[in-house]
Amino acid sequence: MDGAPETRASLILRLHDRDDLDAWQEFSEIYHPLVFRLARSKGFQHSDALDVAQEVLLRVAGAVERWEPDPEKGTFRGWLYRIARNLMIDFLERGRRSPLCDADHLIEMQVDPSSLESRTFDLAFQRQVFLWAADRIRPAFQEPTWQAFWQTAVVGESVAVVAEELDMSVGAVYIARTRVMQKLRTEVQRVIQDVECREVPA
Amino acid sequence: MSTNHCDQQLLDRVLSDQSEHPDSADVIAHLSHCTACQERLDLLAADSSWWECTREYLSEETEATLAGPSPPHTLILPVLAESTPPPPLAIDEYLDPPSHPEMLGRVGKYDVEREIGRGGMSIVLRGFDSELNRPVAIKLLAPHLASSGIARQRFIREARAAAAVVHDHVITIHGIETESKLPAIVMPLIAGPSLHGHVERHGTVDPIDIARIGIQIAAGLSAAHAQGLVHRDIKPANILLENGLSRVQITDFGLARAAHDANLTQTSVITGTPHFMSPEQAEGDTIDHRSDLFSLGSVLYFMATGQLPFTGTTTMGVLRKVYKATPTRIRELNPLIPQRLESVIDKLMEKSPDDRFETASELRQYLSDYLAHLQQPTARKPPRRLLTSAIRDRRRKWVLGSLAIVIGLLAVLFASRTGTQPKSAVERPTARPVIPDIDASLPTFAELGVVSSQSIDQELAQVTTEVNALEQRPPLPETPSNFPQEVSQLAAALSALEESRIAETDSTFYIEVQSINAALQQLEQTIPQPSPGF
Repeated sequence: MDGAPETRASLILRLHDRDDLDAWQEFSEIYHPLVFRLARSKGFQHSDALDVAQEVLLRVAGAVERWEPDPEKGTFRGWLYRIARNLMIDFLERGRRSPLCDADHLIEMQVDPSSLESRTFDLAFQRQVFLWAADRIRPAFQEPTWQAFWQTAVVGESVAVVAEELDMSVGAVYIARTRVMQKLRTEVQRVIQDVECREVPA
Repeated sequence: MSTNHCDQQLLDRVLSDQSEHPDSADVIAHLSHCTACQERLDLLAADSSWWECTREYLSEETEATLAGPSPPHTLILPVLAESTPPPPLAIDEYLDPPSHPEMLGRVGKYDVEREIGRGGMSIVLRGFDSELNRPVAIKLLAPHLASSGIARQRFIREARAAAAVVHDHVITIHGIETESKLPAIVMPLIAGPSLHGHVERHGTVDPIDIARIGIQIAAGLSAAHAQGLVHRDIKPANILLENGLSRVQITDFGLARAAHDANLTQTSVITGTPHFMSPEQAEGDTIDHRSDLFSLGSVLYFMATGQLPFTGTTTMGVLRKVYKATPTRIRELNPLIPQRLESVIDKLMEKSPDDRFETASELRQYLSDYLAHLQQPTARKPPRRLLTSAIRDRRRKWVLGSLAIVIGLLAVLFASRTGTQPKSAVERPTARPVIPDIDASLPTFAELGVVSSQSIDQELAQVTTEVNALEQRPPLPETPSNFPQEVSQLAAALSALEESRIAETDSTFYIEVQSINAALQQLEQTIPQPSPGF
């Protein structure tokens, strides 16, 4: 596992079945924003970044049947990252470029998994899975329960203060936030096995 | 203590049960004050790394470091995987209905026979002027540009300005169609290829033809510049050839500007090839007529070498090189190009407009003098030598290099002398070596007086011959081990000196020749005579 959280092969393998719409939906929900943000971070304008993300996913969709989990060949995300990089360069080549973009910068993007760029992308991916999972589970909770979790676990307020604000007992806040956390963890683990939290390099 | 705590099963149940539990009131009460149980519950839900990650990944602060918010949701379905290319543009959509059924359509009074070319900003059609009974070329502003009112107006205005330039080497404009669906410029149909096509097919162009074509383009530009018109897109594809290389005409005046305007109002796409742009264009600075001179330099470079001066895999990469990089030296790519012609191109391609020729007509005059010299080397003197930054750089390198060589030679000399005179070396180990009076052996300016360039050439030839002889010499066991290296450094210095000749005054050049000669003499002294008795 050498640190990099790998997408569970099962989700990717499910994509081999073109009728598995749930798998395709999960796939696009997770990876489209990920590639979009990657393109934005490389200076692509909003609409261009959308196009890039769309095209990367289409490219992956077209080739995913040929992808098999194989530690020798590297991770699925590494593969996706490579496709994204090459497509962004292509994109600039075709002249549909944005002025903030610098193709040389893209060419210098390191695809080596140990590079800072790849690490950043790994972290961005983990973050995206958390965001995606949080979105998915939120409707299952009452608003006070969610807030108990969000204010204490994410915003970093003390349990006592949040209990006061929400008019709940301290014990109730603990129960609420741990319930949300457990569900969040389960949801994230459907996509990635282990998480590791590092500072996202600026 | 522990008996007061909630048991594991109870905590598990509280966690997994989304509904309220009969015991929950007690548990909640207990959890409210028991920190140990609070911690156990937290840990039961997820270990500490999960809590850390959650905070890190879901907090708003992280958003800022990862390029902003999520995009609108997009669902990619496998059925979308087969994307279809956009349908080809049907040109007849943009033409008026044809007057003859065999024609494609009509632009103003001209019948359109067929499309003959398409570029980033225009479509070229072969048309027929039935009144004057002659074929014409019709250049339509590309539909994506024509939708911009500003671009349309600019296109028409620039075409009018270009029409006012009447010159042998600027393509004549027969008319401008403003009422057609797409604005159009009507020009004579030139049968020959463009300079681009010519170089692609036949490779590099001879120096004499480069000069000839350069003169014609410079003359055409000069006429346009005199009317305040900057071309902005001088490139081989915009130089049309007639009768082989004997006559060229510049086309597409001002079109680049119309496209530029349209893009300002639409997207930020640079149309056309960036390879011949000037650095100030690449930077988006304001430009003047000297930008055309840079582009002309790039065109001459392309003719001389058959290669683009600046290449890259992307537009931005090329533009960055245009701005920063020095292209590969012309004579390195094509040794048949004379130094003086190389200097002309280098001067045109100076990064700073101030370092280029001042005007197109100054360039035309220079090239004309040079062409006369090329055609009659004995009867016509070549024009003055140009000092370019490339030459200045090479000189600087040479001065530093030759300094290093002199120092190196001194070291060799010292080593060899101390080797043959061990006594003195032992007696004065820290003494400075006997400095061979290279400086003293050089003539000063005053001593030089007037040196004829013939005698300089003689000395240069002699030095060159000797260095070549040393290079050819088989290594002897007695020669110092670094001898071949010293010789090749000397040879390099010599060829650098020859290159810099056009930039030097005769006197300084002579001093440099002399200094190399002196270094050579010193080097030769280090060779032990291969006599058996030695």
